[in-house]
Amino acid sequence: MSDYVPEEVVAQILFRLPAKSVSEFRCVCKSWCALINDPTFISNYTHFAIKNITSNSQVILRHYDRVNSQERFTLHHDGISFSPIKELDLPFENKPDSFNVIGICYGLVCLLDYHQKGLSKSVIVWNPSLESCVRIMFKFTAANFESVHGFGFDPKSVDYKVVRIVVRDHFIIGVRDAPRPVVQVFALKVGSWRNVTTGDTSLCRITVKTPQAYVNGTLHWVGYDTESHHVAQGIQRRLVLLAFDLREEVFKELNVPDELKTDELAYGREQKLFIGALDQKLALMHYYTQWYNSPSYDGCCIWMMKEYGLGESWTKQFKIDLRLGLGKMAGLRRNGEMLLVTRYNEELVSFNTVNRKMQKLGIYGETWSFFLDTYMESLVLMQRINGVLKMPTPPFNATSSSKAHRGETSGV
Amino acid sequence: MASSSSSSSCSSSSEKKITLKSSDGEALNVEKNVALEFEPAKGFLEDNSEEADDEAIVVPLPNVSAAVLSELIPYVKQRLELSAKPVQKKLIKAFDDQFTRHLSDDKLGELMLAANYLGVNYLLDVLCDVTADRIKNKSVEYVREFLGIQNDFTPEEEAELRAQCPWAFEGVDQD
Repeated sequence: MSDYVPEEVVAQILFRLPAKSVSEFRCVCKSWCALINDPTFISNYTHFAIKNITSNSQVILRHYDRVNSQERFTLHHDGISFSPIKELDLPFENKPDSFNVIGICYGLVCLLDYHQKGLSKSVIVWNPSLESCVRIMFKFTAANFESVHGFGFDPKSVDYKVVRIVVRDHFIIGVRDAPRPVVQVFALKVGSWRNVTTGDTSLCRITVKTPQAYVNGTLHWVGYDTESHHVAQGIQRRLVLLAFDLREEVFKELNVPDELKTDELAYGREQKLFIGALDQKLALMHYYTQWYNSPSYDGCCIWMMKEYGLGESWTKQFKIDLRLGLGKMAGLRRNGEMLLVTRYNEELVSFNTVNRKMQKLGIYGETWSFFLDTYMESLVLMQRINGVLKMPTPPFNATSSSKAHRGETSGV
Repeated sequence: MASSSSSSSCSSSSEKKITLKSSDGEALNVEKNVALEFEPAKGFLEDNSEEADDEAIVVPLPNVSAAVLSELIPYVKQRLELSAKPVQKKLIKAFDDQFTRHLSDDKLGELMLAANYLGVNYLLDVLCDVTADRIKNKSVEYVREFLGIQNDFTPEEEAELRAQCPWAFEGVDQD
């Protein structure tokens, strides 16, 4: 090929390449370098990857490996088999109990740093495809403040956002409480925390450390209405979902299926309702017992919200008998099989819900730690590699790491 | 190459023909529905719609050679026939694979530029997929050679750029 290749065609080719190759090809010539460094190009690369995410057969799996006492992130082919592609190198220290996963969204991983015992001071946003990360320091932290964190992608501004809801309380955050919680948003492109006004709308409560689900540009947590009422067995609360729209930066509530509305055991040790995203849809995993004193859950019902935002569209999609020795649902595969964790030895298995055949995958970890998401390549956080820090670098205390950190930047 | 199968399925001689004139001055007769797939031809035909006799129209395509056009025309023709039927995506994919599999790097480049100029986006997508597949994980030198790009960096500038992301150059395939 010797004819001049127009820029729009070059861009089309680059969209189809892994982020590592794109970074490398900045060296091809000056015009390629300028194109790749352009923030518009990076946004378009993200758009292309999101548009094609359903045809992407790679998934990122996170689990806590008990034998080696460490968090592990691995890439797998979600095809006929569930074969491993590679282990992802964490570009920061991987000590036991040093961080908690807030969320994985469109190729980026967001972690809550536990560096100071019990007191988190920062979150880390990590791009595995570029092996780069950014540490975002919190604006204020204090022992008597509790917070819930979220991480997702805003399709309107084509940007990733970290959300932090802080309140002076124990374990429970009620958006309608006085004093109102402080809600802060850190957009990666903006590079600083910004306070969000929550308005006067009455909203439900959510507990600290409750998992999130990202669907439709919105973060979701399981919450409950403050107007609890007493029944014979104890307190019964009306369950609802708290949603934070990352585009408009507003809270709203979504209904759970009627059957689950008054489930009294949604929290704490006996939590039995978990939120998740399956097949790009909002899902609820409801674990149940058939007898009052069953030693463990007898089954799991998986509900999916067929049409986003429409409470009536909740559908009971699967019902899995857990008496076979299964413990927790970890994810849904492209072939319709379900990933579950066995109760006996905490191994990940692929379960065919039709013929009930089970395939062992040889991956062992803490039951609660398994988390799966579609993987996608991203050029976000390439600025550091480019040598230009988009975010100001505060005097950040190095986390006394023994490992050489690659491309870690800081933002306030 | 694909003319035998296309002539059997599209025997209607009543189909209106248009003449396309290539960059090297050759005139090629094509069915009007095929010509309409090419943006410049579509625009030209719309501008000259008052012309009663389509046969008399000659659409100039000054950026595409006759050699490239004669590869594109049977492709577009078959692709149109395929998309007219309620066929599975798989069949179209198989057809595209068959078309691109044996393309030389040079031919791939020529077709890509032509597809871009002619606005045949479904073909451009396929050709970009193939190009990306061929340069994926290759060295910078390989990509320059492949796309015929002149390196306009000074050795110092290039060394500096490489030093910014040394990891991106690890594990690159042998050319």
